[in-house]
Amino acid sequence: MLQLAANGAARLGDLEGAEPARVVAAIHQRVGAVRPLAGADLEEESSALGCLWGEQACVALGWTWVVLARDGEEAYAIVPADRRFAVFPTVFMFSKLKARAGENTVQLLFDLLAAGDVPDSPPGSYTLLN
Amino acid sequence: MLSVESLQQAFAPLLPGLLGMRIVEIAPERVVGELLVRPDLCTTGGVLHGGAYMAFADTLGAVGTIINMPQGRRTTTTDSSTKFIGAARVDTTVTGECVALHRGRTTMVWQTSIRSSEGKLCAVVTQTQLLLDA
Repeated sequence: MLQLAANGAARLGDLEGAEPARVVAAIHQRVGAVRPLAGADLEEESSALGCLWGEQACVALGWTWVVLARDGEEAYAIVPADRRFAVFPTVFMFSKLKARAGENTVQLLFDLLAAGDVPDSPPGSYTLLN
Repeated sequence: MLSVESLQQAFAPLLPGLLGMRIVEIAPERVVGELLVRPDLCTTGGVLHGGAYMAFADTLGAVGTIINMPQGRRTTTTDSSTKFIGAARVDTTVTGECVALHRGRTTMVWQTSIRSSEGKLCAVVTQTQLLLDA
């Protein structure tokens, strides 16, 4: 996971030691600049930027990486300690990079999570936010 | 790390498959699964049978050990202790959260808390897994 995140960071230029919010802003800009993608480019960019985005959320929010099987998806996910929520970062990034149009919510989702501006959900429900 | 799908496939012809348990989350220090309380898993009174709790938890602890042990090793449960605290009603789903208490080279200890769909604690299972050469 960290290796994939490093691959993502390498695509964004010199961000070594940058705060998570700054890294996420750079990811947001790159997604807007390179989409829409398809094929192998889409897969590689989704993995790299998704892992980097997820790692920023883990650092900033104290979430953790797990393998999660939920709602027909199985992938690496990030979850808070109480498992109220879950995000599949690479799936989220895939959808944003594939889209020709539509809002780029890469920054928005991170900001909502950081602000705690998310729907109420019981512990252990793994409510998907992407 | 093992995938949930591969674990479910391995379970299908075995007791965990018979129980119908589903793995939800796997991480190095934590495994979470769900079990639908079917009528045929119950004891009298329409509540989940004690043995079902134990088998459910035993499987989660084994999964936790498997994802942590080096290649070329296998595991077996050498000790398991269950505290029954509450009942889980038929046609509900219980969730088992299994966390590592100890992850050593020769033994691992896992503790599973099983809760009802309302979040009520139903059972706590603590087990020791021995790691053996395959």
